[in-house]
Amino acid sequence: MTISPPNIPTSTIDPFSEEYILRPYAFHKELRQLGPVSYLSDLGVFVVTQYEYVKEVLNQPLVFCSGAGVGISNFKKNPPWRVPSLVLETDPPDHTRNRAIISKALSPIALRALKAQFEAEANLLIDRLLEKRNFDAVKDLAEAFPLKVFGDAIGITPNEREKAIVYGNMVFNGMGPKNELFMQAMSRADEINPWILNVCQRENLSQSGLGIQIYEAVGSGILTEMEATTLVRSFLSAGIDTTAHAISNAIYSFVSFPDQWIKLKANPQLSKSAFEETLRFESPFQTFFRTTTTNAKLGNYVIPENEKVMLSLGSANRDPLQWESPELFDISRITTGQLGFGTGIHGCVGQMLARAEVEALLQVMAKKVTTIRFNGEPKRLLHNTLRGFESLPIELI
Amino acid sequence: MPTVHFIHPNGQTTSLDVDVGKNVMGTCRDHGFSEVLAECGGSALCATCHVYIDEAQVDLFSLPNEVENQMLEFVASERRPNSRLSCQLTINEQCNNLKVYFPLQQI
Repeated sequence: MTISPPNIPTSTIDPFSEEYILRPYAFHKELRQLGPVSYLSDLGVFVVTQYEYVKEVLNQPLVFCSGAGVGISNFKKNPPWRVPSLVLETDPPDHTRNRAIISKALSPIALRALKAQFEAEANLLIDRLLEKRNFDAVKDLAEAFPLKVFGDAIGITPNEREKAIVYGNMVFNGMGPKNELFMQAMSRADEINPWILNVCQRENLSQSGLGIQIYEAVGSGILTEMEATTLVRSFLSAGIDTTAHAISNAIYSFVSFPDQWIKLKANPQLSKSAFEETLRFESPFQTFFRTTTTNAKLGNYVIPENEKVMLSLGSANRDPLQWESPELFDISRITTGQLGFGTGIHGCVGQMLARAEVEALLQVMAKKVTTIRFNGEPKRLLHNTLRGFESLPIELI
Repeated sequence: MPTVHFIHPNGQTTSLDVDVGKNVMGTCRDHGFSEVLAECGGSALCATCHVYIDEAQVDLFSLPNEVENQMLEFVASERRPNSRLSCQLTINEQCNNLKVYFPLQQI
């Protein structure tokens, strides 16, 4: 499609360009100023960047559906590269059924039981890193922590867990256009796709983890064996590198705003709000797409049926109409309503687990670490969907 | 503006005038009611904003959706037919004299 729909403002901004990925915030501002929705003419998609309207779209899942994919590709026009996710890329009523199975496994009771483990592992890891002193916060801290605690919680094999990072990278880069980042991420697909399905098989899961619980729905006739495997896969695609980037972003933000680190040290209980503020300030999940199921009204505009709509969570979380001084990282800010986890029926089902992990880690850091500083140039990650770092060399004292 | 009565576990009542359209959990947080934790910030995912609506008034709200219904299974105090997650309740015109009871425990 090359003709812009009547009345909707058009922009030639490319949210998958290197300039945009590295420094998105000025572009967000420009797009927000165009109105509730604009049309990205080079990509042929619509984009929503203002907080109020991003939220409105997320809360209308029947008008702005997920079943045609939550990346730029429209599954109704192009077949997806993998078996679609049974939660992320479905609509009610299937979505309702599948999500309920996952949310049962991730119940508040199950999470409370995991908290002590998260804290114990955080203590071990931070002790080790304090001894090491200089390291890459991405690999050695931000990835290492969820690979260990989340991997254990789900109950996957301890071997080759780093492949789950590669898989997450495929899934989320795969939501962008078929650019170099997409191709690069997919370059190991032949090796990683069978690996991920294999670790998610019933016989390869620990008996005490959350993953195996999904298979109970097979016994009761709700899911097929293959569907259960695909649902367990959702834990691994959604729950590791997203959390890893959130941890990297938190560390980067604390080093960039040392007064906030002092605040956290003085009151480690602020770990909870510090994580929320990190998700607002540097949202690991920058974008999601929806597809219109009808002529969809947004503000005074109408988006035609069967069009892809890009939602910029990163922009909504920095919309000055919603947030005071959004460009400041402030861990005592009231962050209720931040959209880092999305909202509505597709709001991140693992958000309480992610919170438990990162809060445990930040609390331990606040108690044990005196100073964090860069000891090299942080290298931003070039990624179609996620915001984080390729490497973050730091010194921990 | 509807008046809503919040009844604490010790029997004390706090009555507030609440704007139509306001979220019940948000109202509790704004007034510092420690009985409501709302750990997930309003996504119906943590079951820590559980309240009991006066039995005669449950129809003032639409039925719980699937996400809420599922999560109500995990509330820390007993689930009753009038149990709701307050983050999913929006004050409407009919809510004058609504009674909202806080449970003993959220976690």
